[in-house]
Amino acid sequence: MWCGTSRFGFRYLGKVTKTKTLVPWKSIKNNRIAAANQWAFARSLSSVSSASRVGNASEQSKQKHAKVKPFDKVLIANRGEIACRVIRTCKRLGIRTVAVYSEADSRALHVQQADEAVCIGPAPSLQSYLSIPKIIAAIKATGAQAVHPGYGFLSENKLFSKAVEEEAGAVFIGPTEYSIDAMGDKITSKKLALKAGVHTVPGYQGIVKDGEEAAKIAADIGYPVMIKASAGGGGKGMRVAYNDKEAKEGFRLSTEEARKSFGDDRIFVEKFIENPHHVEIQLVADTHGGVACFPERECSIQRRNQKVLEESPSVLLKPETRRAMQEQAAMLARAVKYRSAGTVEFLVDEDQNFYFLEMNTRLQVEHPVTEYVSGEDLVEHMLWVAAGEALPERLTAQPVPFKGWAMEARVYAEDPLRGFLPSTGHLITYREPRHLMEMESEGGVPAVRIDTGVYEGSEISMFYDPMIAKLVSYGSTRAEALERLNEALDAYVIQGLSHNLCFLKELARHPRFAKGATSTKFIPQEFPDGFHGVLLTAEEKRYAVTTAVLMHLVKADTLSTVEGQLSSYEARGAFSAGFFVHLGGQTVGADGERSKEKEVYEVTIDPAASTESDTVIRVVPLTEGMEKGKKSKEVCSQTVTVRDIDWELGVPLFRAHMDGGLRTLQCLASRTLGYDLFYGGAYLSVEVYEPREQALLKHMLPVLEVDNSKYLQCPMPGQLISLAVQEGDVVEVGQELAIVEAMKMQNILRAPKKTTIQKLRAEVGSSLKVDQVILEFAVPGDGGK
Amino acid sequence: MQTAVSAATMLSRFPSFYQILRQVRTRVHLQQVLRPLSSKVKAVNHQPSVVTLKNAFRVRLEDERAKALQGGGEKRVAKQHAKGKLTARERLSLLLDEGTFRESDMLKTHRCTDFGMQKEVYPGDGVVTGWGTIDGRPMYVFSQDFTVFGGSLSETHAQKICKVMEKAMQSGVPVIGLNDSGGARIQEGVDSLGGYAEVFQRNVLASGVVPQISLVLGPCAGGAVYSPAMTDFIFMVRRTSYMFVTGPDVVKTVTQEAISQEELGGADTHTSMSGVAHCAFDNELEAIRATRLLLGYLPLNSREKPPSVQTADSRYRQEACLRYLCPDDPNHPYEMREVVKKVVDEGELFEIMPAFAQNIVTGFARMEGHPVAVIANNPAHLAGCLDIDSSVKAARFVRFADAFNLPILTFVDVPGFLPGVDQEHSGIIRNGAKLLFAYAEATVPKVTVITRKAYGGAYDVMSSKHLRGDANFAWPGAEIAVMGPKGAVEIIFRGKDVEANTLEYTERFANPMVAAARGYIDEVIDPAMTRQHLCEELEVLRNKSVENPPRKHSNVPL
Repeated sequence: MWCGTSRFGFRYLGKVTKTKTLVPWKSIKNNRIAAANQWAFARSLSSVSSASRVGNASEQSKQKHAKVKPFDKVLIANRGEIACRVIRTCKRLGIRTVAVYSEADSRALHVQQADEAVCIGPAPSLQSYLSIPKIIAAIKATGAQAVHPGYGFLSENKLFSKAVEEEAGAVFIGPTEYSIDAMGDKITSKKLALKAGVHTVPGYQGIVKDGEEAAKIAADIGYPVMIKASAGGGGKGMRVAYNDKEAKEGFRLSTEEARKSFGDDRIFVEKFIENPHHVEIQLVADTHGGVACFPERECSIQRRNQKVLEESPSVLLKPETRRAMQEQAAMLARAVKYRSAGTVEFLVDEDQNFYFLEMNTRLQVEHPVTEYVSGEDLVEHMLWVAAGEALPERLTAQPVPFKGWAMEARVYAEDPLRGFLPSTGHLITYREPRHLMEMESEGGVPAVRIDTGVYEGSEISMFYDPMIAKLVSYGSTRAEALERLNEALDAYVIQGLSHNLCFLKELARHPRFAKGATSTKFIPQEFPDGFHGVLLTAEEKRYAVTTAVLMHLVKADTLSTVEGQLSSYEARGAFSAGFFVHLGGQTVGADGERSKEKEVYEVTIDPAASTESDTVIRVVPLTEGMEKGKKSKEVCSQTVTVRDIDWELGVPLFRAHMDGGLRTLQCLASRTLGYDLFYGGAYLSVEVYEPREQALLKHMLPVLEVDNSKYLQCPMPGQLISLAVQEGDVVEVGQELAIVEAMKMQNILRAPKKTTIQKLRAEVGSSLKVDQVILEFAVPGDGGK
Repeated sequence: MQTAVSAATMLSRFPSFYQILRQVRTRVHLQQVLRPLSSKVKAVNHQPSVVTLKNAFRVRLEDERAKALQGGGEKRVAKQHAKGKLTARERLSLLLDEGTFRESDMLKTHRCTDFGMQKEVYPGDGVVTGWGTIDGRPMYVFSQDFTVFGGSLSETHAQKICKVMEKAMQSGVPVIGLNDSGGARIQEGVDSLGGYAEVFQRNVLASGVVPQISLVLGPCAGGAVYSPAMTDFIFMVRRTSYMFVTGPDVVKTVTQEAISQEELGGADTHTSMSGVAHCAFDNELEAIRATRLLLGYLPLNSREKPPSVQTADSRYRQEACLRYLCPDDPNHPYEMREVVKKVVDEGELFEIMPAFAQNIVTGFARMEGHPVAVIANNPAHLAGCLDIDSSVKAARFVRFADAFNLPILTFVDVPGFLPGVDQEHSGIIRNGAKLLFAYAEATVPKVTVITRKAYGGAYDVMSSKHLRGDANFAWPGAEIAVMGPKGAVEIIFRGKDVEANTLEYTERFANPMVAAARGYIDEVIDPAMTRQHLCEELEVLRNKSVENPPRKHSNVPL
């Protein structure tokens, strides 16, 4: 496998970019009109490319179905990316689509894409997307023959599926009421699974009397075991035991803790699975007894039980384990007479032992990875199955074959640097990595697929799930898929609200993840104190420095074209004097000459030529610098060769080949002294100085940290309409504290720092004057923490 | 510093023929030259030959120049640096293109003989003056030297400043003042006060003729504050610059209020509370670089068009997101700066007074390379209403733009004037009138986009068609009416059937149709195409020529 040659795989990338990738990307970037039209274009493109990739599969299946299409009209009882995802397949099959939307979503993408749209109420989900009567009314009003529930909302609500079929007389594109019911309850589903012969976590389901009994049961199950309070939660009343002694002691401690914490000291014992992997089997079952078992998805990278990164297949599974898991998943599906798409979740230990966790009776968020590796359109199969058709034999006769590797990263509107607080606001800038979405991977599928329900300008509101998009990459090997995921994360531009791209990037570039050494403990183990931002390597910092210098060059160029110059004035080559660049407390110098062709630069970092503790980067045209560069490479390996720079002032993406690899950096903002960059998941503030400025910089006073006031004051006269915190609450930076209404506008006041609420000084409903204190923050050493 | 030295010495290495000739011709003068000659020269020859005298003078000239370049001497310079401040010459070396500073009056000295002042003579007298270029364009500069007499203003010091200001006015070149002065030269008494007034007079005469920029980089107290105050823009630096009429000590004595210098007249105070200064920076380097950027937007004088730069940003760049950034619900705020940045070249907006009266945004930007002045109501602050501070802020900006031929681009989302006892009692009427007056008086191209609300009198004020707006556009979500539907319905229907009537009123008036039907709006445009429409209009209007009636001057409500 070629992936062994390089972790970053520049060789491969280089090849492709020359022939395919760079061309469409460049032509579009160079044409600012097209760039501006990006979202509309991107949308059509992604739908086209997705259609083409699943097109083959559909043609195969189409030939076997009696009907031309499963339904004439389908209503999608959902919003966001999943609604758009379902609409895409429907459109390809020639099915008319009906979107439902709340007032907050009236201009949402799914509404724009659907053939018809019905408003089902105000923004809060309970009054719209979760309102069964309103959706039933929409089905009746539009005459939709079937309803796709997506995931979340009403997708696993048996009352809804019942109402769709009985009240509205439409088909529910999902499992029967019985399977939803049976799998919805954890205890019932476990019992059913046991009965069906599915491996479950071994354990004693009854209540344990004393320590002796606990040890005996533990020995029966096999160590290690988990001693758990049946009322337990949040890690309380839970002990892991590796031998009899620990089991007895664990029983005693757990009992005490449980009694104190929950007033319920009932204890049970279960097998403890160390470093488990979360692996799930996707299946689709038809009403004719056919069950299609798809390759597994590995979803071990989770944060607080929320999946963050998913991939297919799993690094862990041996073919026989996969086979056994698929067989058991099919057994369970048959046992509950399952219909439609579903997922059986397992915990798998390092020794390939697997245990049933639960079954999800819906199409899951992470289904695209399965579609990528199997080449099947899961939504299409759901539609045919719902229409009563049998699954094609190629899927049911044997486990669905798979090819390549796919990975999915969930892009959320949340701030990983502030305790993953959800963020809301408009996507002021939103540019998908289209060059990768247009790049063909092996088998003619796009290298990257983005499933989203937003476009530039969309608002991520507080009413719904803060997911912005699903970024899915594909490659013939895991390394290739990972490399594309990494590149896509670099080139994905999201501005206007906080997002988790930096955290996703941290995971995607993590050596342990690259090795595939994942487990559900990955995030707690690697980030025990939370996530504090990506640390770049020295090499990456050099790229950032080089980028800032080149950006500065372009800016200086523009300013030197100003009208009204004296005849004696000659714009200096920006490098005639060189630059000094500040990055995270470090100073490096950039010196050199300007290339007339402006195409190729060689940046040499030469510690020997440093002034004080500074390092000097030399930037010289490659034509002349080639030999120089080679020489200096021998002396010190700090040479950056830059070519094919693609950037204009005001464009967020800076792309260039540096050291032979395509580097993608984002310019978030241009400031008086420098640039805010986003690279490799790190937020960088880079300042560029001329030598004359650098020489005097030492006299400047260090910038003082602004001391946030002890009080939250009302910024304008108005009425306090809500307080989001109570005394003693610990708040993160940017967390909502209160809402003040003034001039009929609701203004959210947020925490200026991480602190504790000491005292509330104003009551909800009261009128406030300017600067009136609303609440007091704790001052360190003032009692509060 | 080094660069300034080399530039100055290069120029002044050879004294002019005229200077030497005059000194040789007049005997009296010769003796004056002789008297302070170094003893070394005297010892050699009691009756010096002309050649010796000439050589001696050359030596002396070099000494004097060297002295001028040293400012107040090493110790005082070190003290200045320790405070986080640069010297007068260091500042100029950063402000102007490298090697372009041409100094005048380097050897000028004061004539004060009181209090032993004749013994303390520094060539240049505490201010460095001359001209240089910024991005190749000429600028007159004066830079006060705090290391010489605390930068205090003497009669001669003032004369030097007046000289560059006069030259600037005559040749149509901007003046940039770098202020760092302890105040009047007390030893000179009324001569110093007179000096201030001479500067004030020239500030006023230059106003509207050439751009005048002040960087307050140190103390600026008492009467001295009024020179920067009458210039077009004041930049300050946090923790090193202060402006007040009376300092904390006097304030304490008179009103018993205890307050620090920084709180009383620091950069943040003046850029967020008083509105005296326009931009605050963390250090001098940043302030100076910002000054260079600012000058890039301004013409050299009021007879010129603003300077264009080359840009790759096409007028055809569409921004579909503008259709969505502005929420439909008139009660939902949004950041107008983001809208402006989507429209202007390269997303670059040089904001003036970013921290003061944030309910209105004022700043410079470029459209297809041509500078424009942007004024925009910002619903993210105080709902974007017009109040006293925002009216005054915008009014002064509009008048600056009009004086220097900068087309005015107005983005309107205004719910009206801010109601309140405080506002009325503080004179919202006369202050709001300033903005109305400024817009109505302006003859530069005026292009306006109503993004959402344009209610009541504020609609009229914000560059409406009725105030000679050249091109007035509205987005489809615009609401142009006397007031919001709720308020209107309560008055018209006296609280009956509020909901139904509100809906009816909303349908009829909460859109730009009525205004478009009257021609008050030239076109309802697709927000995504805003940039193209504005660029086209600005190009067509580039040679617009409208004149106000001849008169001595208008009487703006001050």
